[in-house]
Amino acid sequence: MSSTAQHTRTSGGAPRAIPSVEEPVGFTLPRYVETELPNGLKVIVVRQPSVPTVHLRLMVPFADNDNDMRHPARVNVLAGALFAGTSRRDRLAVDADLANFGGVASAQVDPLQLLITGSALAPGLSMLLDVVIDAVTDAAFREDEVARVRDITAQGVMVQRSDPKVIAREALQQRRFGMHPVTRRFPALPDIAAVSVEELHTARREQLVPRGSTLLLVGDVDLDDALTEIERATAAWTSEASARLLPPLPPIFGGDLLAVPMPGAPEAHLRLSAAGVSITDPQATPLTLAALALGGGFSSRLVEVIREQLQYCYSAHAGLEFVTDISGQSGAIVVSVSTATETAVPALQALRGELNRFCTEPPSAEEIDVNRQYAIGSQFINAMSQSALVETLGSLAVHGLGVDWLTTQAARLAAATPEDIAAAARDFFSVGQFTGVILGDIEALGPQLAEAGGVVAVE
Amino acid sequence: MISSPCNKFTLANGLRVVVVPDHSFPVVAVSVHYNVGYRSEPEDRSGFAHLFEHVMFGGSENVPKLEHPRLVKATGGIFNGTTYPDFTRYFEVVPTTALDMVLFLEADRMRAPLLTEQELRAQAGVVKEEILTRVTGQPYGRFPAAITEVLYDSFPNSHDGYGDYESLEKASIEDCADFFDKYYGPGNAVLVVTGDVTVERAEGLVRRHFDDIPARSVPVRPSFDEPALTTPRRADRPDPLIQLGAAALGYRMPDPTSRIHEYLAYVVLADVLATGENSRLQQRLVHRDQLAPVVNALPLHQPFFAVHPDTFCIYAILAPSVTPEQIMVAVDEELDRLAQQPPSAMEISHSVMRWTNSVYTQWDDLGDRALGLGLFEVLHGDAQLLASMPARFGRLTPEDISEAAKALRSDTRAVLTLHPAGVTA
Repeated sequence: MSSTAQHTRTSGGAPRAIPSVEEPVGFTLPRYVETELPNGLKVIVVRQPSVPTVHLRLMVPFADNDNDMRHPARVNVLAGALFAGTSRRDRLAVDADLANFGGVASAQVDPLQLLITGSALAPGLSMLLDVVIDAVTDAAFREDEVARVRDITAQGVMVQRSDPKVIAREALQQRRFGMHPVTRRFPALPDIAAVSVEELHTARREQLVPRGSTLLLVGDVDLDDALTEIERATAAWTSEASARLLPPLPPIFGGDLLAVPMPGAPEAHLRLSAAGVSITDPQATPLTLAALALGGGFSSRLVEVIREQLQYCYSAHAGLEFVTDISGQSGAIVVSVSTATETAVPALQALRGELNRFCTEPPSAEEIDVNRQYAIGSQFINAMSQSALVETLGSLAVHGLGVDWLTTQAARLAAATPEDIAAAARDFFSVGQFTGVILGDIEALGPQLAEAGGVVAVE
Repeated sequence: MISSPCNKFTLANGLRVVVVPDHSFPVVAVSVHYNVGYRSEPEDRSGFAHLFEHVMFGGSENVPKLEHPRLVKATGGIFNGTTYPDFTRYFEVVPTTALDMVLFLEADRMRAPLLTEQELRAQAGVVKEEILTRVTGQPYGRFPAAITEVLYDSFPNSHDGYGDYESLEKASIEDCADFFDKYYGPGNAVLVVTGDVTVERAEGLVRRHFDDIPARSVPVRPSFDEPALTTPRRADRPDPLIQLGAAALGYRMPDPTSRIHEYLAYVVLADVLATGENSRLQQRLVHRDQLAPVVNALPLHQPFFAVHPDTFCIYAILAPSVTPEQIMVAVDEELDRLAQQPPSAMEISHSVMRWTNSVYTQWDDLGDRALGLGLFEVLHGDAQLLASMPARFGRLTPEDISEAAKALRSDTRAVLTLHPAGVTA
């Protein structure tokens, strides 16, 4: 058969028209209550009784505001040891109490916050709250448990940092934010070994505090009863201190990409970043739509060109990041492409080409339409199930945004004009505004990379 | 609610349809499960089923290339496709107003997908990048899944569903046409519609779009069963990306379709062994002997996601200086303890409670719900098999778990180990 042969296996017949789609109905949230307790803890409870379970998130800003290089080690060990026992329960009793209700709870930490997530069958709500707040207010940090957590944490870091994508992210952070604490996600192994029980107790007492923190609960609950439960469970969790936010992030300036060598790596990772705006900035919505049009999954320029047309990659993405620090809010644009070493330089050229084209040929009315509808509709679909809703609300709560932000987002998305979006494309996406890294087998890329220009080597 | 009314009917062309209304939100989910996966691909076409899944997104008779993603995205919806050992699934989650369109899209590519040389070569290129991103460039890529290469001898059971570059290069349009004709007929598929739609409306739309797809003969899936190992087998692989080694132990499991009771005993055994701080291997490997920071036990293809044979796998990341032998000795001792002394009723209860929580969480996500219903109908002939689970779990005894532990013998298992083999800077 000739190479242009086209098989459709059609049974013949006249062409069929794709059915049209009417405007979807509006989005109404289930009933909720939003309040702040006397101890300063913000609480959001949503009654979503689709299945007889509950999902919980406790978010505590937990940043290093003191340029303390040992902070990452301390908070990672603290997160690992938080559910390892209190004066009322040992580690096994914590697990058993949760498991009686099919429940789980765990803590994780990043440079911004300590995040506790948990879920249980609905009758286990009281127990889940009790286990979580018990850990938060009375973690025992027993010497033998902490010793084990140090080892597990260190080995966990070794596993995480064997992933080139993790190293690429780390390199990007340092490239755009220098030595700011936001860049220090993983602790150094010697620092982990040096974490003492005393400093864990101190950190818990001084930083694991309700003021500035948010507790989210979504599930098969009665709103009044749940709020009463939460008030009762958290009554003894008090402090004069406020949860700690990051120091102000430095602005992002465009510049050369840093070539970060990883000898023998089969893949190259391009990570670019430019200054964005804060989540509450009027330009945030048009910028969100612009980023979607550039690289927000299928039907975006990066995926259609760099993946589908050129086959240089499996994943290409552009998106926005938002941070809330002590001085307020900021944002950034991040563009990521992962590609085979052989195609790294052509992929970089193609990416630069698409950024240029994005400025000179901003998103068309059709591109905007697809992405606007996607943004409006997906926000709804992302807030249907209990676990999706608690995650969506959580991602807003870290910026001090409440439920009303979610319910008004559709209107903001609908109001963004093509002119706003074109302006966002031109003003934020020119190649010169981006800095970043290329991580991979730099030696193998050799002279090709130098010819591409705009790349500097690690000193 | 997991036992919501489940309406089933079959079209004249053999397409099985499952409709589960739920008017909680103005959203619908649609899934199509074709009863073929990578265990059915020819021996010199490793990776073909997955490649063909990619090609199925390349357009169809009335839907140009790239339009499927664009149309679904424009509704705010999501979509995806995944290739498993024994089935290939496609799904969408969209607002109710887009149901007609989504059913049209699935019917159009079930009837007449576009199969062009250009698209085939393009998707082969994308799959190569996918292998790079998910396997070669990923630490512990395909671990522990590669245990099947050690535990089994037959091509269907042992090979990697991603394929290699050579076999992807060899795939032809004729292969695509043959594969489509043989395996993608309506009689070999299950269509699920769940969410904000009445049974009447769903049936009307389904018949409008799918009725005229011609019936084709339905292939009979051959048994993939093969003799169990009679002596243990061991393989060791270097991984240039990792710093800590890993070990996976693979064992045969009972038939998930004909011996559900015994299969479930293994599912509970997995929890007793490795889920939660009270589990046997968390206590022994992670805390007492400090051999591993991480240990897991599971049926390799999530419970019920494959027909016989499925694989029971225990795997761990090795702490520095720990050998796989140390892990194996400790695991054998814990299995022996369980074989001699059944687990407590509480251990079993905890496993069932946690499983129940996860089943509710899956059901709560409309897309996952459509996928679960389709899976159980296409592989096990009963979309609502989950509804029977509480009673089935209730019939398990501690002795059943002991029997399962007893069957995990060290002299008939496969062991796969990874060792760090990186270039030191």
